[in-house]
Amino acid sequence: MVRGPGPGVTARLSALLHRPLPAPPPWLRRGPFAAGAFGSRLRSERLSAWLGLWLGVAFGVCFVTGLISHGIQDPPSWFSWPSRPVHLYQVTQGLHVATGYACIPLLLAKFWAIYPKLFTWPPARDLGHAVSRAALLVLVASALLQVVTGVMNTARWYAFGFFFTVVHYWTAWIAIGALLIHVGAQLAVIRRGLARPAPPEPDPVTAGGLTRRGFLGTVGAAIGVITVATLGQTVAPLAPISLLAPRRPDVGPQGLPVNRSAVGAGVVDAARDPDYRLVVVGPRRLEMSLADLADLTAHTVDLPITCVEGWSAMATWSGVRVRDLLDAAGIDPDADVQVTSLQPDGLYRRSTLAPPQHRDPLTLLALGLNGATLDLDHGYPCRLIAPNRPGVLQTKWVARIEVSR
Amino acid sequence: MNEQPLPRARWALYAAGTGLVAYGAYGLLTANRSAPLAWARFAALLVVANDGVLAPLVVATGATIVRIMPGGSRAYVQSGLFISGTLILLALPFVLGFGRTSDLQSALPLDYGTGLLVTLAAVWLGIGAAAGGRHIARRRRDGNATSSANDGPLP
Repeated sequence: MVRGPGPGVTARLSALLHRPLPAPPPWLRRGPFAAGAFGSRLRSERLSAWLGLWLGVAFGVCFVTGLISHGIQDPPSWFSWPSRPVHLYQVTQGLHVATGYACIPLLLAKFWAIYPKLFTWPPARDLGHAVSRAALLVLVASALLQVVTGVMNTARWYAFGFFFTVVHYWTAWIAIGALLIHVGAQLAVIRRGLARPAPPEPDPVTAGGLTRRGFLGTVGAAIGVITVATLGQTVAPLAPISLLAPRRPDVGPQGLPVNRSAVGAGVVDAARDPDYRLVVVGPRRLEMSLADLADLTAHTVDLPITCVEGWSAMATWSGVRVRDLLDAAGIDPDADVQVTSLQPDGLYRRSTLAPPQHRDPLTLLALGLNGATLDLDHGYPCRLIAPNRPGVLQTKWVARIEVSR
Repeated sequence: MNEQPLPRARWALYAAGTGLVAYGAYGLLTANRSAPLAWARFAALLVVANDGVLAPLVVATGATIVRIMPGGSRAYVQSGLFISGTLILLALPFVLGFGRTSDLQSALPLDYGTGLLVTLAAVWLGIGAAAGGRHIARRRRDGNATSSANDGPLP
């Protein structure tokens, strides 16, 4: 089909890669290395190819939604994220986490299907074979790392000794790169494995065990069960049957989950201080007490809190429009605006509002939640709430608003 | 086959993939708070746990099922065990609950041990119903086949 390049660098490289390596002594070929050590007739190129296709789609979804989430939180200069549709981030991040959970059965099925290949004999035929196996190890390790750290993060279990978001982001590039290498190495197998029509398979009852279709159906069923058991953290009507969801959208102070408490953030005294003032720094400097804020025109909006961990919950917020405050301070409507918390430190102490967000009439500095004064854990005296935005950027205990430097 | 030059699509995938892996590795080595040594340690732990513990356990379980289970119900048991196993692995961090803190009541608010048992029970009820339904359907089909063979003329 595709004509190969002529004799030259690639031909010489090819010859080098295919030069045979010395074979290990045959008496080492024991246990799982022995011929016929793995008896299951269920394993086949076709099974591996279909599982690989599903995994490729799942990894693609996780990669793209992950890049979106990363882009919103740490935007490169060319990246812009709209404030509408309101629920877009809820969908992309809910999909990210649900697809990540679905990778558990997919990955395990795939690992089972290719497990005998781990004991290939000889372990390395030639240099090319050795390189290809090393690349596969990178793919296996990075895929395991992504899925396991992702699930552990939703369980808030940080036992791995590195900072989750940084490692999850950079390892994603490694996993996707290693996946492309793997697809390249397996092109011929993939073409054969996905070819139609499928070869006939024995009747499941007479053969006794699962057929390929039965196994693929089982993997699908496992994904279904896992999704139903957890999706209630994102899709509220499912919550009563999502018995393994790490969150319930209606459990928390004022019926809404919290990811960082006032105690955890170390802001209890500062937030309760009667001398609290919100400072808006612009051509006109505003210093407002809580009573001053309460005297401004109040608006009520229904907006979700959407966590990067995948859960989300709707709530009714009331407070002052951010754009009214910015206009009152004379701040340029086209400028990026920085919102700073009373928190003494922490990665999410500050967030930036680009013009699409701070000009949106739904973007509030909220003083009230679900008809009551904002709970201390939800950001009392006032917090940011904006549409289509990760929860970590909905800055709580707001102290200061100014133009970004 | 090995002597043939690789198709161009393959070289393109190798080049793009190697570039992305290198970019990710560069990021891991240089980014703030990424701790490459802890990364390598955890990745190695996962690979060993998967290839050295979990996979042999699954293969051994599979071999045991083939030895002791009758053919008719084997596929259902294999399905049920696969779904149960993946569910248990997902639920493990929630059941262990190491991520709970006293100041966050809304994080991990459920009784995940009970939730896991109830979900597993539902899975096995479903497996039982599917097996039962298939059994009944087959008996009815066999019964019809037998009676029509007895009543009608042979082909």
